[in-house]
Amino acid sequence: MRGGFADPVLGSQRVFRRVLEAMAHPGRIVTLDAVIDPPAPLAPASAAVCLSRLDFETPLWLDDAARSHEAVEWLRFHCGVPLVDQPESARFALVLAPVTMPAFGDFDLGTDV
Amino acid sequence: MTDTPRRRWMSVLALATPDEIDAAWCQLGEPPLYARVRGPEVGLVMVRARAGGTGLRFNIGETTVTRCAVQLGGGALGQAWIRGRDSRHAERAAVLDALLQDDGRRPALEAVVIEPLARAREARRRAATARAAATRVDFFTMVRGED
Repeated sequence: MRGGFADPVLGSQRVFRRVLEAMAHPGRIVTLDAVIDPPAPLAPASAAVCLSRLDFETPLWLDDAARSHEAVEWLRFHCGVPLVDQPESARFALVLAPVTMPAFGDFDLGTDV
Repeated sequence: MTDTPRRRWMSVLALATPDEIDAAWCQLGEPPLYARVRGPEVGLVMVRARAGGTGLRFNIGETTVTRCAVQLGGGALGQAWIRGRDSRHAERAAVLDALLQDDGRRPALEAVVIEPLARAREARRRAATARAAATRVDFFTMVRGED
């Protein structure tokens, strides 16, 4: 089992601020500089976002390319996140093979419709 | 390996006093090589209780808990949750939990580490019960003044 953030509070806050900046400026490329060694096939940046944003109240959907045994165990251990099979039940989705992902309409459309 | 033996030794390790854990740690001789996976970190846990008459669950209050997860060289993942802020207690209890998961070492470790801790805790519990029993007052209704 690999570790998560060296300092969970500061690491999580730091990643959140970077993600906030990226989403506030579409097209801007932001570096997370999170020192994480996640299990395959997770990449350090997406793993850092997962650690920062996921918890027991944010169900996660993984596509088949992301759903390795080590990745599932690691996410469950560090985030306590429930994993769901149906895209519409998820709050977050981690997709490693975008070509084969479900249509956006299959995910939760939110409450402001 | 079923759940129950592990629950028992985790409970014994968590409820031991810090001095007892230090003594058990010294008894290991050469401490094993391990890596911290998480913590030790201190947080709050909400304790749930049941009301006496109805059995309804309610939040009785928060308590401080320190947790730690470590991994030994061989891959065993040990965890500990202890009440209070003693990080060293949590870390050592997690290492002992990892060591106890090894079927080969478990009998010796249980005899040398867990059983003495369990006996010490039982002795403490009996002493506290005896002290409390000495202060017990039995009330009797003698005469009611309503005639």
